[in-house]
Amino acid sequence: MTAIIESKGIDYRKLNEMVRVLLSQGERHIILKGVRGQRYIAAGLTEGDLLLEVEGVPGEDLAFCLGGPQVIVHGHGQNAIANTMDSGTVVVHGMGGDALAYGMRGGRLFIRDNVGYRVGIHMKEYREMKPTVVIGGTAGDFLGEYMAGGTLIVLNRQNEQASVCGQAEKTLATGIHGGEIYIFNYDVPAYLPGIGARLLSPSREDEERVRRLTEEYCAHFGFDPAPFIEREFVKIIPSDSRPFHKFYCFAYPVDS
Amino acid sequence: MCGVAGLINLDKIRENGSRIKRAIVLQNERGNGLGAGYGVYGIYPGYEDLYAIHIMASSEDAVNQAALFIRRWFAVQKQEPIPVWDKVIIDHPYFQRFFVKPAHSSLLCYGKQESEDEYVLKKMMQMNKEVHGAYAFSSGKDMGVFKGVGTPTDIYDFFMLDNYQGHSWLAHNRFPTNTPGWWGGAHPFNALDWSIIHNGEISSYGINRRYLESQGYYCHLQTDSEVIAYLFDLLIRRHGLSIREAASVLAPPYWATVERMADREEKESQQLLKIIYEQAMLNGPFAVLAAFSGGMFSLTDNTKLRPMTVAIQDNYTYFASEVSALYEMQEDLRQVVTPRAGEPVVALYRDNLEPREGEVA
Amino acid sequence: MKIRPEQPGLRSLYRPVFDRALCIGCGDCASQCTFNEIRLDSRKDKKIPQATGKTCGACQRCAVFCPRGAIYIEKRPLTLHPHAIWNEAAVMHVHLQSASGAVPLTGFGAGTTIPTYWERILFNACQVTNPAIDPQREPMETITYLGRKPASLKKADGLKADQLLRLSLPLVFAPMSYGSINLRLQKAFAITARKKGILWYSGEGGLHEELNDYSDCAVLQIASGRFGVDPDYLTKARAYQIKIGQGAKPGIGGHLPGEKVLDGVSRTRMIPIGSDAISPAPQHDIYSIEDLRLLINAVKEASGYKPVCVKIAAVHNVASIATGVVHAGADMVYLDGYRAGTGATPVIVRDNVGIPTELALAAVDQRLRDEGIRHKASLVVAGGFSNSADVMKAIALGADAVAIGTAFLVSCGCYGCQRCQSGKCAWGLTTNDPVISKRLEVEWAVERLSNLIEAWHHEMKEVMGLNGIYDIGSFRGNRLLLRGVGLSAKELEILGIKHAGE
Repeated sequence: MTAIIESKGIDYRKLNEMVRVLLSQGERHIILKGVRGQRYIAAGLTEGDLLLEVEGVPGEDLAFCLGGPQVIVHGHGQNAIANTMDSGTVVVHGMGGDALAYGMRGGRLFIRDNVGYRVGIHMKEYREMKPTVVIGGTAGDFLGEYMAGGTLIVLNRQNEQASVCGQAEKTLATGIHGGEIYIFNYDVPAYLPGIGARLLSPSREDEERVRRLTEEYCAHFGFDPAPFIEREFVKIIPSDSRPFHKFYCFAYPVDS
Repeated sequence: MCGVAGLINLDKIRENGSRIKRAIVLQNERGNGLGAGYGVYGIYPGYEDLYAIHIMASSEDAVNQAALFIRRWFAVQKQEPIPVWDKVIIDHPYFQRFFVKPAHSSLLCYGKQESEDEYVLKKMMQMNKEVHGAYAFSSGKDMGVFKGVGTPTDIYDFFMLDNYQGHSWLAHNRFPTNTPGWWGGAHPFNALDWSIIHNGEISSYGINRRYLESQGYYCHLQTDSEVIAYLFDLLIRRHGLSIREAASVLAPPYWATVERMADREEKESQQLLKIIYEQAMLNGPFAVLAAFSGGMFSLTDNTKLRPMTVAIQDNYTYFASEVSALYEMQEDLRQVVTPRAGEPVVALYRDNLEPREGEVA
Repeated sequence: MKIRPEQPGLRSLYRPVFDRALCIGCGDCASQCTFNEIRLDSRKDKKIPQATGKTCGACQRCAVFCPRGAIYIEKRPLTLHPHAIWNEAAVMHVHLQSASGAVPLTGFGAGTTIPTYWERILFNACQVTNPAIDPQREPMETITYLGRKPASLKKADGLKADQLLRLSLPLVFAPMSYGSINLRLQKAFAITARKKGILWYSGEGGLHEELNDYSDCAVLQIASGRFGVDPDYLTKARAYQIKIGQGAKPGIGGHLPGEKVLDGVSRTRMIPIGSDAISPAPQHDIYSIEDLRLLINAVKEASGYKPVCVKIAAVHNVASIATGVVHAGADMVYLDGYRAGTGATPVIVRDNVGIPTELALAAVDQRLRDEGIRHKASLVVAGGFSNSADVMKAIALGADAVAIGTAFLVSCGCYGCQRCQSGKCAWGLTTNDPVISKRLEVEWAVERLSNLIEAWHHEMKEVMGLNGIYDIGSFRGNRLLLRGVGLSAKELEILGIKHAGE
């Protein structure tokens, strides 16, 4: 059973209320057609067996605090997708905007094309909750800033040679203190990684895990995984758990 | 907060504001009803060579004072109220417009022939300083700003913008950060043929303003966004910088980036721009849409803290804060572009005789 | 019988206090004290220190160096009836003059109760409407260029960025002449300046040959005594500074007491050992503003057109004077305010002449803008900066860079005993005595100074970041970032800032 809502011209509050009403009636496959800019779609939804399809361009904060459902966007996304997302899966058949996956704590986000700035800030993990973000194209500055946990993959599927994960000095993974980032087929310039970030080659386990996630990405978008996974990629992790401890000293004596 | 939208036809084909209105209204969440405005180009056929001065005034007396001032310094071809629809907004200032040319004798300033543009700018600054209760908010040729306190729909309907045909449109929805909403504080801000709309807040405002005031620009609108219009006029018209150079003054590359530049000439030029125009640099999040007689361009701060999206289709270029608003202007968009931080996306009219720096993304 | 108490009122104000339980009788304290305050009584095989009560000036040397921490310095009470005028300082001053018929000299900067403005100015911070920037993780730049800049790109006339003076952050070492300070200390300044990518100013003592290697990050001074100014001097510096006056003694020339004119100083300044090195008050070829232009151009001709900085004290008409200095061709104006330090100045001049740095800076910056010439010269300000917040407030008022003097001395051990002119500085800072000057280790001083600059640099970036500013150029002159608290309407007007709450 599929419930369809013609969303054109409907204010986001009404639209989201309509979705919640359908959920309370037991609907678990909902398609929103003609979406254009409505915000907070799927915000706070916790029905783990829900499949929500969005046709069009959803507005800001799609899947904010999502707790379980699967959300598929047939179109571009805007800013703040998967903001503080808890669990579930979000798939965007297009590009993503800025500030995606901010504070994401679990679940998966797949963006087919490029994303903007400040993606994956302060992602965090705890026990079995590990968030994952897979970006098909490139990303802008401040990717993974303050990262505390989880996995972030930039597939660079167009094999760009420049500006794959940011441009400005010391903005990549700046302040990372947990988690890992993988960048495909790109010679990350030495000036790019920020404080606390360290580049290294992936291990066998890393390769396994990244391959599975790439295959999952390709499955969502109908790509052949072979040309993706035969390319090299580099890993970024924290270099130190306390990169800032030398910045501060105590103003008053605490120890004799 | 704020929402922006822009639309330009490079062959100067004109249309009314219905498409831009849809785009800005879709982004209604970005404003708070305390300000909205539109900038339109190509709207006064038959008066293309005259400066169209738009005045808002708090009383009829102030209107008369403004008219006296304008008639003293300009040859006025036509003066009339700007048509408004009272039913939409009941409590509003008086609006008048004047189609003028500088009075010939006054152009000779201490024996030096001033350019007409410089003259008009100076007189508008002077009028805004001296005539109390009246404010000239638009003074370019064949263009006009329409703005005030209200939602984008209110302002559009109030000024009956369906009746205007323009080849480029700017639309802004305001969520003021620093000052209470007032009619003059809405965007676009104008200086001669420059109109700009801005989303963000300028933390460098204090020094930008002092710099502009030392260059003869009077900043009186209690809004930081005002400085952007004057900066473009100063840098591009007065100092002769290209759009790209002016963009790299307002949103300069980091010193670290300049250090790495391989092209020595570009590096030296960039160093000089940063050193000479330190006080014109904007700090703080911003996304700006600027329209002028030669075209339109967008610019964001160099960490892209405010959104801007662009679409190019046929001979149109569309700008908006949100992708969804682009689709409101053109349903079948084939290509959406996200500009880079600090890099302008420039759309120039094809008949632009002096393309200073043409780059259509 | 005549009663003639010995030097009434001229005893020392401080005294070292010895904790006898901790004292191990090593006698180090007495050898550390260069002022002969501590006497040692030999008892068994211990040397028991006693305060003589004659000369202690609270320089803390004995206390810091006591291996057991058994010493602290105490103020010796001179208990007088409470009185608004006749307090301890006033009484002592009269006694000094009655005993000597002379003008009391002191060092350091004015410590009077004239209000300090830095303490009454507060910064803004971003909240909601504008995001703060994290200086530790996000790009933040403090690069500053000093010198004459064109008003527009078209008027650049082939200017290249490397013709200007580049600083990694807007701090410089204030001029302290070799002679007033230990050559080793000056060397530490030079090394640190090179290391930190900033400049050091030589002061009027000339350039000792040991510091030749550091002349490319030096601003060499040409003062009224023209010490050490030979043709070679005029080619090797990064820039030159013509000293008209200084904040600690406006209108008075330099003064290096003969006690401090020892071998190296004598050679570098080309004057006899033991003679007082007096620089005349005016430069005797500058009696009016147009003469200044003569000297500036002469220096430029002789130096190959290097940038010229002119140092003036902050006095009442400082805005007009600074305008004149800029029109005379200076590339930089160095403003030295009321609280500036020195090695030697009459007390009466230090405490009563000149105006506060804050007000001078605000007035000069605004006047230069009003005249449309602010871009023609950079403003370097000095006088009474004790922390990085003061520095940032100065930048927000309009300074291009801030010169630090006293804070760097404090960094290397100075505790402000104000006896620099004696040549007996127990810390080896303001003395060239061959024995005492060895107390200052150059490497140690470089580490201390580098640490201080590093810490201030971080603090400065914190202040920028919380105001949503990533480039110091947008902080400079941005007076909207400041608010005054408890300032009068006139003070706010001169400073060009609003009151908190507005």
